[in-house]
Amino acid sequence: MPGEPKRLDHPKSVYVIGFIFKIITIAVLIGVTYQITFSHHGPGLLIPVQKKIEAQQKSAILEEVRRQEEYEKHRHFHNIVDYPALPESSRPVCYICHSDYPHSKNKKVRALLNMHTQFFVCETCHIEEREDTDIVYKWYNPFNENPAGPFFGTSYNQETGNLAEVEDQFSKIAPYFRYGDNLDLAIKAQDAPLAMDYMNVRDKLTPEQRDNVKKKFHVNIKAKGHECKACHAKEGILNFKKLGFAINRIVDLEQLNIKGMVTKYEKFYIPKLFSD
Amino acid sequence: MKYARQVLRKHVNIIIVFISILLFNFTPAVFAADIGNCLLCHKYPGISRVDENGDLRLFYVNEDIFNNSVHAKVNCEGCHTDIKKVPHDPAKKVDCLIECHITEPSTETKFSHKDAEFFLANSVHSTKDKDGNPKQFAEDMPTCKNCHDNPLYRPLSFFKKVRYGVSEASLGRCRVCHKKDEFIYRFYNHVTTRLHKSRNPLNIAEVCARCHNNPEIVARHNLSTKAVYSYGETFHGKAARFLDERIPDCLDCHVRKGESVHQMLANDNPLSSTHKDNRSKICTNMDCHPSATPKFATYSVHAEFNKTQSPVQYYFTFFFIVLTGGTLLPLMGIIFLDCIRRLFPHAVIKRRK
Repeated sequence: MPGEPKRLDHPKSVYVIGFIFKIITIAVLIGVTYQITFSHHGPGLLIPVQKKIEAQQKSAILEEVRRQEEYEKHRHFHNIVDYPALPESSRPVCYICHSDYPHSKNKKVRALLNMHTQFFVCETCHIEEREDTDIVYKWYNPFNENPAGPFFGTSYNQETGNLAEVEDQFSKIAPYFRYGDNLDLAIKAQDAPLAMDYMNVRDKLTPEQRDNVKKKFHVNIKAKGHECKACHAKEGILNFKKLGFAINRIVDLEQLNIKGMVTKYEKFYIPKLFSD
Repeated sequence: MKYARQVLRKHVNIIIVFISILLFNFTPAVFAADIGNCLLCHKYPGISRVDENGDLRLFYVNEDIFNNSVHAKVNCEGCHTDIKKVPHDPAKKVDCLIECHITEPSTETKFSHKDAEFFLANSVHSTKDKDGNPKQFAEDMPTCKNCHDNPLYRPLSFFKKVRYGVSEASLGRCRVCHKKDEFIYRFYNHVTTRLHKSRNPLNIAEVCARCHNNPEIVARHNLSTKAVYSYGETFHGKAARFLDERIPDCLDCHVRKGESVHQMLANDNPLSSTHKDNRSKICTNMDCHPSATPKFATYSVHAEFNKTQSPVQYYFTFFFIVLTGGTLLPLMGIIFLDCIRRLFPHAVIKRRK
């Protein structure tokens, strides 16, 4: 009754029920608002606005790239398995401009060359060697300073003959400069200050300035990587044994495998493989 | 010594063959399909390139997955017939209709997917019209790989209950007569996979959605609905999203029982399963709603919330939205305000003077 003090000593269950009703009210409110504004089951009052914003943000290039990737998965027919990729920030700086499939000039071996990006970083093949600098090749993992392996590609699964599955998905062979007892990693990740600075300002640079900066990035890089036989040979650049490769894998890498195909048989199968 | 060299030269081929046989026999696994040793290169996931037109091309073949697919017995050259040497030139597009080396056991002829082409040519997805003239937008019509990727085995066990997987107990019965495990597993996988669908309803809907949810294709072909979208709005579609395998997918309704899935006919074709005279047979079939009346099938399966396409559904749904909001919101609002007053009995909104 008006004027009478309100009863406040309700049991707790009343407050609980009240709370539940509030949640339901909010849910219904959200539901009805959605049905009226954006849902395709309602008048869609705000759908034209939504479409307008989407049209403004639409990128023909992005759409085409996605469409092409999807198309390729079907064209390829063989089922695709995604393998883990490093987050953008942990990838080497090369990936600011280049992709996992950077080789395209030599049509006969470009896919094979691209395959190598799974096992080592770009610099392993493209580093400029200098007489005054000693280069050591080690496994590099952006998340682990001293990766212990086993590493992907170093051994076979005895039962299937395929490369053995390993836990470490991110380690790759990378070059290190040796200064006395110290080893200095020859690559930089995208979260390195210089790389981040470049990414921040690259749109503000003139084409000439951008070219200059890129050249600075490539100061220790040679355009043409090593020949196959530089690594795929006994006493090659990479010491497979030290890098933890299994004996039968080393034999394949050094003698029998793909390199054998592209060099030993070169005379009678593919005489001009490396000529272009 | 000279004679020995001459003998060696003469028999070099025999020696190579002998060494090869030794090597192959000591290989840890037998690659059924990889006689050409294609996996020497193609086993690496990174073997891909971006070609001169900027198109991504993938060349990786996962052997474990391939060996678990229906094509496991077909060697690489069986489909990639133009590859005769290694390394090879860019491979030509695979023609799924060629005859491969496998023998079809019922006719003992070479196996081919050519029949699928015949059925497709007589279906609504044909590139030609009834008179044999090319249809408008014929390029939109699906070819093999638009719908199919390499199908994987989905074996079923029927031992005590039906479940996915291989029943070891059943295999034991196979082994009574058949000796080779490789044959037994393949045969078991093949047969039990074929006893049900190799894809779940959601996967099938996704395949059809590539075209039938594409607004441009829908508009170009003057289709009345984005079919997979409207399917997704039904109970069937919602259950498919929860990976329910018992509910009907596109093929269950649009293909006549016992016919090839490639022979999908237009709604206005009297032979079509979705023709108005045949529609009730779909819903009332033994596996779905056997006790339903023919009227059960008269509802619009592909109704969209669209004034033009389905005005009745549109206004009906709209009425229920208003009814729900109009009833519940004021009621809940009053309870809400009451709760606030009970929680804060002395709260006052002070007015500015």
